[in-house]
Amino acid sequence: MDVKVKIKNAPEFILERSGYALIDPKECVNCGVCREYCPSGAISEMTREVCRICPGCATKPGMTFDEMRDISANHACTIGCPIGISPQGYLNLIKDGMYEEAYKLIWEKTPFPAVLGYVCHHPCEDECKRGLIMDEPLKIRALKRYLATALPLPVQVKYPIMNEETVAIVGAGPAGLSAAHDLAKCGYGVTVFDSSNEAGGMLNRGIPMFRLPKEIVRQEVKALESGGIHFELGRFIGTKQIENLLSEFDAVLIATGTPKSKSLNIEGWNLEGIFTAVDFMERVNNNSDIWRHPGQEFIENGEVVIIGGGSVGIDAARSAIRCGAKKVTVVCMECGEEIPAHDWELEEAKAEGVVIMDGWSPRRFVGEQPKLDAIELIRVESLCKDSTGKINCTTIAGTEKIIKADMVIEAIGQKADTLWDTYKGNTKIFFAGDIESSEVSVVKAMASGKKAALYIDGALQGGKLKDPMELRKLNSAPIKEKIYPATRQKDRYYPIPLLSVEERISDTKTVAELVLTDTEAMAEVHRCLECGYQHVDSERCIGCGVCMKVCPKGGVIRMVREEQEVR
Amino acid sequence: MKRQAIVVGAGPAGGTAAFYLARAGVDVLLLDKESWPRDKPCGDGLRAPIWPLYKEMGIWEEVLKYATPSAGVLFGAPNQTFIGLRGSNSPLCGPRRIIDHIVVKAAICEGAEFVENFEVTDLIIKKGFVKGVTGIYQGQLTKIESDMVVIADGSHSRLSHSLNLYNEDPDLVFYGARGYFEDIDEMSDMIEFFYNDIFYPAGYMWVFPMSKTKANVGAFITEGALQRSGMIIEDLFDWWRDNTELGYKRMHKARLLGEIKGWRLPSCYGPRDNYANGALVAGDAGNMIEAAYGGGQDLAMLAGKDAAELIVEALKAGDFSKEFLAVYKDKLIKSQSEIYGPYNATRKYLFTDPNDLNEFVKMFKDKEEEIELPEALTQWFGHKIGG
Repeated sequence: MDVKVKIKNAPEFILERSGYALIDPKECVNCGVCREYCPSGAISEMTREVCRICPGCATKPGMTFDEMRDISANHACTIGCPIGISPQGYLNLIKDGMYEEAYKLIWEKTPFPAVLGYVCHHPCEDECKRGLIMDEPLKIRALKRYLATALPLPVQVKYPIMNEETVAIVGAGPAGLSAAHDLAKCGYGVTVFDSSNEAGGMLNRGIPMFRLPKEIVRQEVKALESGGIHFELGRFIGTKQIENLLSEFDAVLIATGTPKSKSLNIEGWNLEGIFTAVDFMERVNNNSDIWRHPGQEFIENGEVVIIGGGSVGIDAARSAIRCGAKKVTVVCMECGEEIPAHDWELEEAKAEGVVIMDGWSPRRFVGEQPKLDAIELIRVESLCKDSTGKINCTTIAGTEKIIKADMVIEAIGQKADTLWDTYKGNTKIFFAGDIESSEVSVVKAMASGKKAALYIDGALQGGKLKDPMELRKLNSAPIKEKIYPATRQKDRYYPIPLLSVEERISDTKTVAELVLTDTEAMAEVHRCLECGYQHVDSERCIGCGVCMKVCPKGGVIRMVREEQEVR
Repeated sequence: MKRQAIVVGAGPAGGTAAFYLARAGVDVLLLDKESWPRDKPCGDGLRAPIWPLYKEMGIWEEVLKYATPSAGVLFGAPNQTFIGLRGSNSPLCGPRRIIDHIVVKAAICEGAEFVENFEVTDLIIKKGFVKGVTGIYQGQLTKIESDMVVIADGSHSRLSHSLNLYNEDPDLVFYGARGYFEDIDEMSDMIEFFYNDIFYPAGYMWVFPMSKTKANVGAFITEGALQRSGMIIEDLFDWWRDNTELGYKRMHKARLLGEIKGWRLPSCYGPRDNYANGALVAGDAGNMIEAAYGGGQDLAMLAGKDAAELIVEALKAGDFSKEFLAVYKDKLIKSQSEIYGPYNATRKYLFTDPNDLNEFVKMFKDKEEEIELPEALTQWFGHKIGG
């Protein structure tokens, strides 16, 4: 049969093919690798419908057909990941005992499988169909940590040097290093600069050690280094130095993040004992002697008030508990469901003794110079964000309340250096990470780094990298593929194992969450409904067989001849 | 150890197949994912065509001990008129938790080996032949080989799915939900079906009496109609009570005992190609539900018996190919046609257009006392086809 072939940037032509590829939906783990490699765009992702009609067959309440079909057709873990990893892919490779292939699948998208296994806020789990339709979502992040732990060391791969062009990356945080990884994989010579003596950025400084041990970051950074990425640490890059970089490198990526904390400009701001979250976390993480003086006197047996109910605020609160504070209170303007921190963070924090005061706004710091003694709060009546994202808050007069505070940690957001503003518009300079967007999360910073790598590649070589995010679209699978929860009632569910509260708050380094055991991990991967699979459009397939070669599982794709009848 | 036959699923189809295989001296292993006895959402109706099977199996007396007889069938029409027609062969009502277990126990007594809590997840296929099953037993992946497999794993059948022996027509796939209710009002001594526009085609609310005030009440509706209604299936109970005269009469003070449970019922108009190399499909797994009332226990048990007889022949011949097993369809046509025939006509001429039932009630209301249901239906079909 003749097929019309259209490959990016090339004129359409007619090809006579001898056969086409066929993917076995039962065997396919939906990793999406074949789709990314397919030269003719013939492969797409299918998503199966999950039934939720009859009462009593799953713990979630029954749904109408429309609701069930809407959720089934539009949600899948594969479209939830900001950096385009296919959780279904690596979960099912784990299930088949193919740990290295599973790890490689993640590594292709990010050099930080283990880091994400510890700290990713797992938007994929919010998209998990099992969670939306049946009971609880798959514990995808915990399984990623299990996988990274089960394998002895990060994958050691030498990046190929194929291109003449070189790229400088300023900032060795998650955004910068993700871009470095993608560009190095693509064959560019990459040098990463950072003012700190250790690569990792906020992974080291901002995220508490009880969530992410430094050793994990070090291991994965080391793999980048031994792969061939050059690091220049302890080198501050300012506007003066950037000129040198511009003459030395073909492109410069600024991924310096948001190192500066915002602080409140209210009465008493200059009292002793008021810290910003970044400053506080940096001190805790460096375990520096700063706590001997002057910090320790504030915190040990003291009452600590954190201002701000985001993830950073909760991390700071839980760290304060671990530093020996007698009482820790988080004050935030939002109420209940509106609190920006994730539910699981709030729950773990509460279990550790953190008190959440929602719906309060700070009015002034109280104390006799130089020392802070208390903070005055006022009840919030309403909160609204205007179009620029600025929060307008109205308060209720007469509801003022003073609570004791030996120490205040402000976690009300961070800001980028304004240093680089004049360089926006320079065609050799690119931006990525928190500096670029207001979304603060590790995985989103990585996504932004990956996007920047795409733009840089586009500028330098006209875009060999395909944007895999553009290829992610769900198509509804035929009805015979429908999944019935009734057949899955015996799936075992284990909650994520945690240390007891006493054990986990004993110091600042003990990781609160335990890694899944083999039994727990296996039970968990078996809960996957395998709702997605890849499908070849036989009208568009050119029969090249690339998909068969790149499939990490094997035995999934076969080439069939035109005359062969397909069941 | 290789077995002669494995039967997957111990419901009416699987239990019956295992019974007749064991009676013929075949080494048979019966597997089920539940712990027995187990509850199963159903209208609990046991219709006349299976009574001879219970007698053959020697369990008729025991079934009668737990089943409630009904005096006939009551139809509530969409215009809220109704008619009760007596019948000498009107269905018994027996809770599936008990009746299914009686069949399984009979199979065990006959010599079948029964393993519960064994969840079969896949078929072993070698050179295009089904050669056994794999499943989860006591947390372990377990493989058992056999010459033949009877696939009777119910309406969500993974196995018939995997052999592509499955049908998903939205006008033929029904959903059922039932609860046991106390304090039902104005209930007759008949099994009762209530038809309303939103349930069409063929769907209804049922009330099957278990005592003077207690009944098995359920909703039965096609996938297409449920989708059009925009409701979740539990809502149909409240809708019926709040929006119809007859529903209100029955349910205005009714109390639910336990919870409402639901199930999927894939129906069809007659025997299909329910065979593959080394495997036969029986019961809900093969869509063996008639499309008028959604009854399937009789079809399932007849198929179970047919499958068992054919496997005995296949073992004798040593031939498990689908060519040899193709006669299964002929056997099913022979045994099941007397069920499919009248019920297909009923679906077509009585349960497709809401006006038909209004007219049916009107036509026979005067003769309510003297005419039995089969006779009324015969006259009705004559009237419809002739007119």
